[in-house]
Amino acid sequence: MSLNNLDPQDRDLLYELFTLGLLEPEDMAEVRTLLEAGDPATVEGLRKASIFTSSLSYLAPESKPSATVRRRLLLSAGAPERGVGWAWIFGLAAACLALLVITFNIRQDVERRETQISELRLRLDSSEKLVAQAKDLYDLLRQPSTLNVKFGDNQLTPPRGQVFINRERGVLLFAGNLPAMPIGKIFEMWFVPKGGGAPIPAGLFRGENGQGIHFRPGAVDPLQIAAIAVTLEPEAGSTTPTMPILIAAPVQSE
Amino acid sequence: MIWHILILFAELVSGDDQQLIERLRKRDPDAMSDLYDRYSRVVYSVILRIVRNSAVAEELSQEAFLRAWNRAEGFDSARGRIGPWLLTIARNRAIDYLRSTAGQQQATTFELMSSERITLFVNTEDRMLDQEQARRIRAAFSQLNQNQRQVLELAYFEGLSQSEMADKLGQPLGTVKTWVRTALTTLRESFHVA
Repeated sequence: MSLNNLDPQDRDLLYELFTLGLLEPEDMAEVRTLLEAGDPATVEGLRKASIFTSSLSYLAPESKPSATVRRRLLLSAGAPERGVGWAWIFGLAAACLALLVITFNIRQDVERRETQISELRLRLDSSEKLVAQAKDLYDLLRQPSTLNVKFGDNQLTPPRGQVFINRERGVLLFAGNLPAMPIGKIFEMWFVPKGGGAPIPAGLFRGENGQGIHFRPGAVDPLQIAAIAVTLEPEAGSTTPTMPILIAAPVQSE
Repeated sequence: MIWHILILFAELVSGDDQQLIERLRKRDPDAMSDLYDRYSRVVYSVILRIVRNSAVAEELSQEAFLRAWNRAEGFDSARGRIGPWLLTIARNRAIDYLRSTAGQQQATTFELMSSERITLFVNTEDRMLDQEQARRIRAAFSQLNQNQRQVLELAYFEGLSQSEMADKLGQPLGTVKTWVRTALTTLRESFHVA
């Protein structure tokens, strides 16, 4: 055989047969001689053939060596074994600790968020009540049957303001220029009945910057009321007025 | 199949052959662990397929890795591929064992040594991952007929010459040569087609 007489495909085959040990002895010797001489074409051809034929290893059924092979090999090579040994206990402990910390943090976060949710729910309830109250007041103000009484227009030292009286919904008072509330005192609204009876308590309210708003819900009969009055009373409120009248708004219903 | 995927994953996470070869050349002890973790299954599989004895296969696997470890200094880390080289060493150790038990050792050891020269595994332009090679070679092998598959297995996994195959199969030598030639040509075409 002479390699020079072979076409490229036959050369490839020849090199593959060499790497598989399938060449006849005389051909094997010729290729080996060229290889040892460093013949570039032979080295390159055998290089390709070696890569190719080594891939036939993947035709072997899959198997796994025992762990002792690795241990023995690394000992033989003087390489450190990367076995887990007792390290897994520390690893497990660290993992458990990390899990515990994470769980604790999550629990704290959940509790914090639950508190926030409760606060937001309370604020929402409060806002809903305010909205409902505002709606009630708006209904009171826009109804034609609501009686509107102004007061304080002719007084030299106001308070001034308005009272809205609705038979079904109640009485709404807007007052301005109120005096400052002394400590331990509070404003109290009264219904002064016609016929000279004792004033009837109609609720307590606080003033702020001289302004005060008070709503006394519930049915009320304007025909039975001579006036709406306001006094300053002890903080717990009074059953009868104990202080001078600050506001007196006469009710003139038809 | 799953361990081929593991090999591919190991290759991806632990760097390519070039980095591993460089570390082996520097006698980095951890490189031996990495080499083993990357190739132990395929090396052991091919040896076991050849010797058909797990204890012997483990012994020969250890020998193959140690041989690579002791000879890695000759590798050019910039251009070499250690996987095919290691598989060639593994196959040669196993065939050598088979022949030694059959009293043919002296006649064949030198031939096997020639096929695992380091110079045959450097300067390759082939950058395919071994996993892709494996997939391709198995697909192409399944396309061969029974006779072609048989002669390739006898050659690669039993180390038989073509004459020995002809005797074993009771076929003319020319017929066996034709089967071998056709099988290799078919596989080569599928192997080199990107």
